[in-house]
Amino acid sequence: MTYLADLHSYLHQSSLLIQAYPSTRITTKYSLPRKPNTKAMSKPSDGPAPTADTTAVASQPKREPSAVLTLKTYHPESGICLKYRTDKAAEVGRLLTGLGRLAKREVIEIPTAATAQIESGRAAEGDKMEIDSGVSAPKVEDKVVTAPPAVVQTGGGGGGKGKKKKGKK
Amino acid sequence: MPQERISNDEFLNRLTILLSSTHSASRGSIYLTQKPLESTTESVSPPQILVRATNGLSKPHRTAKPKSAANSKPKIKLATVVEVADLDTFYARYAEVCKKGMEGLRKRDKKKAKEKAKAKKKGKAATGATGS
Repeated sequence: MTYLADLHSYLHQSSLLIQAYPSTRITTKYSLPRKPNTKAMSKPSDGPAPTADTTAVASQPKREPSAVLTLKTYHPESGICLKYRTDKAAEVGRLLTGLGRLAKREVIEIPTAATAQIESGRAAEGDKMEIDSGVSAPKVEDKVVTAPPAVVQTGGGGGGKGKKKKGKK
Repeated sequence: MPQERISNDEFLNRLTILLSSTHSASRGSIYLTQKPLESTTESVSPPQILVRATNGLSKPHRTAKPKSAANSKPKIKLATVVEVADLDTFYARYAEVCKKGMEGLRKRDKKKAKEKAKAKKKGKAATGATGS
């Protein structure tokens, strides 16, 4: 019963679950809000929708309730259940392409930032291995010293670090 | 109980009707389920996909007190089997049906779009999205 934070991680996790258990099913529930009568307008009674609603209300108070799309990836035997909820019309297209890919049992990787992090993690591991090898220890030290100020430094790792910094700013 | 399975085209047409009728009632939910069809011959590695749609209502004989016929809507169940070869085309059309049918979802916010346009010049994309 976990609600995942974003669409990509939902699709990613779901693809992993489907890889592991092919009999996993995906249910998309499209539910319209309660009838917008005057009472409901003043206080929308969306009981089972705390997280998404609070964020929505926080960013844009006093909006009429919109329909909600709830996705549920469920494997009955193990009881594993992944959920994602959205009310954005813009996500429907992406979502359905994702569902299509899940139907084909493709593995969906998390794009952009997350993968970059993973890659940088791998790069770091590579550095560690270099340290372990011992021979190039002074070299590595040099790298470490020069790395923070030097964006000019060439090489894959250096470039990646520079990029990351820019992203942070 | 075996369920009647309709063709992909018919499924999408009826789903469009189901979505629009739910909207005209301005309440209710629609459940869309997809799962691989359990094949008796387990040779096919990516099996056919069974796609179901329902409005989630109870069958008339299951409701404790039968409401008046005018009030209660019938349960609608749709099911179709998508061949592996047709998955891409089906999902493209399925996505179109859903995008058009799920009109109750929040459109890209105009305020947010404005803010975004200030930060980045993304105004074009936002209006395009609301237009569709």
